[in-house]
Amino acid sequence: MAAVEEHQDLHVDGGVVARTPLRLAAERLRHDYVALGSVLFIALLVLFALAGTVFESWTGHPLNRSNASGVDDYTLLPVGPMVGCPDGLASVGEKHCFVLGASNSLGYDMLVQLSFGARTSLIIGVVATLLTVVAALLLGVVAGYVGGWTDTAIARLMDVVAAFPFLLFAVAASVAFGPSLWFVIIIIAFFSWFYPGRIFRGEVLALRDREFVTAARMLGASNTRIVLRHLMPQLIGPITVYTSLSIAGAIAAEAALSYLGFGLPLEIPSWGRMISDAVPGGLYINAPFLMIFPGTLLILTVLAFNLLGDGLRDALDPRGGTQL
Amino acid sequence: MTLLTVDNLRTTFRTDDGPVCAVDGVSLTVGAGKVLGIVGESGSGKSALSLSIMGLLPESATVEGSIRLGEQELVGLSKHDLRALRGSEVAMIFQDPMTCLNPVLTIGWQLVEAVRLHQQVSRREARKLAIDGLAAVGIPSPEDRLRTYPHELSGGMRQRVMIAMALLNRPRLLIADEPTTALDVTTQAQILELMRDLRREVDAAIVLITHDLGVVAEVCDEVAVMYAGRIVERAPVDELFAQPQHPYTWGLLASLPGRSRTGQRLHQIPGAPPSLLSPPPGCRFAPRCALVLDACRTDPAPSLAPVGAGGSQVACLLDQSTRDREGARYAAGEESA
Repeated sequence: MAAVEEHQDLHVDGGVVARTPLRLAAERLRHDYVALGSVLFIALLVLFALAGTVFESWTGHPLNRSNASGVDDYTLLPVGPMVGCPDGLASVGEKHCFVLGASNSLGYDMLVQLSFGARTSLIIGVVATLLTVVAALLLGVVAGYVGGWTDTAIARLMDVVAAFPFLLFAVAASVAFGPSLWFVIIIIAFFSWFYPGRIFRGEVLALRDREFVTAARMLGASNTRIVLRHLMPQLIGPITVYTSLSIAGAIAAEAALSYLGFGLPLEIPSWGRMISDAVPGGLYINAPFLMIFPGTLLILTVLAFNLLGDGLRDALDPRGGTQL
Repeated sequence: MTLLTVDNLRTTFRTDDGPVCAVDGVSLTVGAGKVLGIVGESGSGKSALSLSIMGLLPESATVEGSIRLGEQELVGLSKHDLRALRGSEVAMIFQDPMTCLNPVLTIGWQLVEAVRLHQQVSRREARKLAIDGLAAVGIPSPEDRLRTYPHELSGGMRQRVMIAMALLNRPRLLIADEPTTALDVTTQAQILELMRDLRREVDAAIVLITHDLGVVAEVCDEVAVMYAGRIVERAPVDELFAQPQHPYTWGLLASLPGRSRTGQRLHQIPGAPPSLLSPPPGCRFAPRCALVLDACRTDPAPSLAPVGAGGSQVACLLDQSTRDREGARYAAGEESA
């Protein structure tokens, strides 16, 4: 049924209209509402992260600044959302008004911290993923294409890295190297590359002996050329999928490290640390929003990148059927 | 003029069970503008021979002997020099056109790439050459076809594209490894027709590898029959069908479907080809040969020797009168059951 519809689709205006594999994938994606919702959420999240300085001037509460008015004088709890805003949103900008409440017992502004936390998450997610995918491509493709001892060495290296306990190693290393943004990015990339690396290796291994590679060699193409020009286009699918999935993983890993209090220096805001701020003294029991706001954002963000990755996988998989 | 000279070629694969000599002392020559057919069943070394000539064997294989293209020796040539020859001087067409084109790249991209690998021309000129190439193999509206992907073309069309790609840089030697096997019968006829036409136009030497004697009869000038890594008979195509000399060739002829009456079982050669890990001494066909002599089972194996006036060569110890008598029976199709 799907095949028939696709066939009709090919004949527009009497002529044959070629649909590239990527266009087919885009078309499938357009009908995947979950993936589309994820894209929308991610777009809004990027806007939210970019608006950090706007929120600072709107609320009058700069980043990482303690505000005495953010803490209730009697209970000593951070103030809740809209507490101390007598005229609702119209009173934002007065020093007592916190739109989403305060984010910790020092009276940081929740909205501002969340926005800059989103920026941290996205930067770490994207940069760590770039490193991950580049390393995975280099090692995976070389292992799969060259084979032999090179392959064995790289594959065993992947096994070794996969066997490392991430948190234990990351915590120990962060004590040794001291907290920094780059440290977090590199440690996350170091513990993520092997997974997409295995996938790319497998793909190349399967493609390497296909007849069109022999045909390209028959025409006099060199190995470098075969890899870059003939095989890489076939990897666009897995690269896209694992980029998305890897961003989700990196964001979750950063949050986990920050929750434990390792990795990022204190001046860089982080959702993970905001969640951990709610723990001491059982603050979250009386002020649950301390956990709910950053926790929900974190879950939704990781979920969005994961669902987008799944949607991309379905869209790019030629065996998935067109479902149009 | 002799274009390709293969002299005492031995191709050995290292395997876990020991060395396998897939091509064992093969010698042959092909002239420019001529078509040499190589026939034999699966595992007879046809493809190993063609890959040896192309230099496309895996690392586990070693090639000894001599392969000369014109005056140039190909055995022992560096990877870099071989790569420069492949696609420009020698080209190959593969069995399955469904798999030898890259599915995610357009036909045009792949053709332009093939041109620019060997010719210093602009993208525009390469495109022009690609269009000409497609037109030459009979593809309608070639300009539009450049934008299509392999999956949008039929098997016959894809094989035409593959042939066009192989011929883009005007190779002097074209190896066609069962180019029609994966196609349906009507398309087979068209592709054979095309190859016959091209052979006149491009004046290349063609080595046609096949297990289909019908294809051989259609397009070849000369035929070499391979069995278990060796050439057992070499003859001009008319001679092969008129006076087949080797018992294995007789078996192949008797096995042609047209030779049996409807409802009858097809003829088959009893036994199976020998394992190349430990081939039998002497003539490798001896264990399956109905007329086998004691001498056939001992080394050295019979070597190709000229017979008759027609230019045939055969590697067989049977005396000439027996061969003539039996050969005539098989040629006439009497021996069918």
